[in-house]
Amino acid sequence: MTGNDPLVAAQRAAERYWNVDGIAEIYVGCLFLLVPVLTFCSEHLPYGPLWFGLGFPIALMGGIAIGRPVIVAIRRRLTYPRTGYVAIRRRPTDAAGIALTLVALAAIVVLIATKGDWSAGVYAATGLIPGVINIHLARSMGLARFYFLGIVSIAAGAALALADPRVPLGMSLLWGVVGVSCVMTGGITLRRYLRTNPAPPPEQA
Amino acid sequence: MIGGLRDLADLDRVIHEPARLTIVSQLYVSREADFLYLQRETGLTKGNLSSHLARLEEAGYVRIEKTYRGKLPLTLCSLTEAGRKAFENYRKTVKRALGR
Repeated sequence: MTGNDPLVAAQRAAERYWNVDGIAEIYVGCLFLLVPVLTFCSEHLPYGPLWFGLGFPIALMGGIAIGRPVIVAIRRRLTYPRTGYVAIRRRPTDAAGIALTLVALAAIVVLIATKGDWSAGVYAATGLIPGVINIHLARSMGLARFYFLGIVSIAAGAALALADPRVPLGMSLLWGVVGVSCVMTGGITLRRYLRTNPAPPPEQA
Repeated sequence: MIGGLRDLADLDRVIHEPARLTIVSQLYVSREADFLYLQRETGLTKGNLSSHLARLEEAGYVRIEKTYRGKLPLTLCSLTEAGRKAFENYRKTVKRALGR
């Protein structure tokens, strides 16, 4: 299939549909926000290190595991009755996406090697990885707001690499900024979606 | 008739009809879709979409499952293996005939 192929347009429309309502972004943003929340708990509550040491892997794995069912359950109420349901067929792996990821990883290695400071490298890497993923999503699905998320993530990582604060604070700031951006763009998208697509009368749903 | 253009006469007429071609294209890139999604993406009226889906089902190209989401009726559509093959053949024939 080529770039001008109407099938590619249909495929993109079906893939874009996963992000039509912003619910997935809000969910992912909330997952990212767990980092600052758990960091705060580990620094200010009793049994401090346990909050992050145990809480983070459990919350992250649990959040990823239940992510799709939770998003689908919300969509069954909000999205499918308004604009319908489609299950997408996965495309073969995108070579350009893999190349982009490899370039990003190479950039991280170079940055860490030249700066000789691991925490700065980790900040840059942590900002760069979701940034590259978001830019790839924006490019492959034609969704401009993911460019914004990608740029915010890369810029936050770069700013923290330069400022180089202590690790828990830096990571909290980074994931906090990325999480808030996701919740914000998701929230705006959801609001716009609900306004544009009012709930149908029960007999038409 | 010139070379490949002769192939156009053998096109699958079930798929060749523009509305059905749009429906099959949508279903080709998805695993399954419901009636509402197809209606929005194809721009067809309920009646039109219904009759074209029935024609595609009759040809064995589309599987239609009528079920419920909660208390609401839900019509799920997907392309059968025969439908996928027929669509791929259709694309090949058109490309060959038009020299793309």
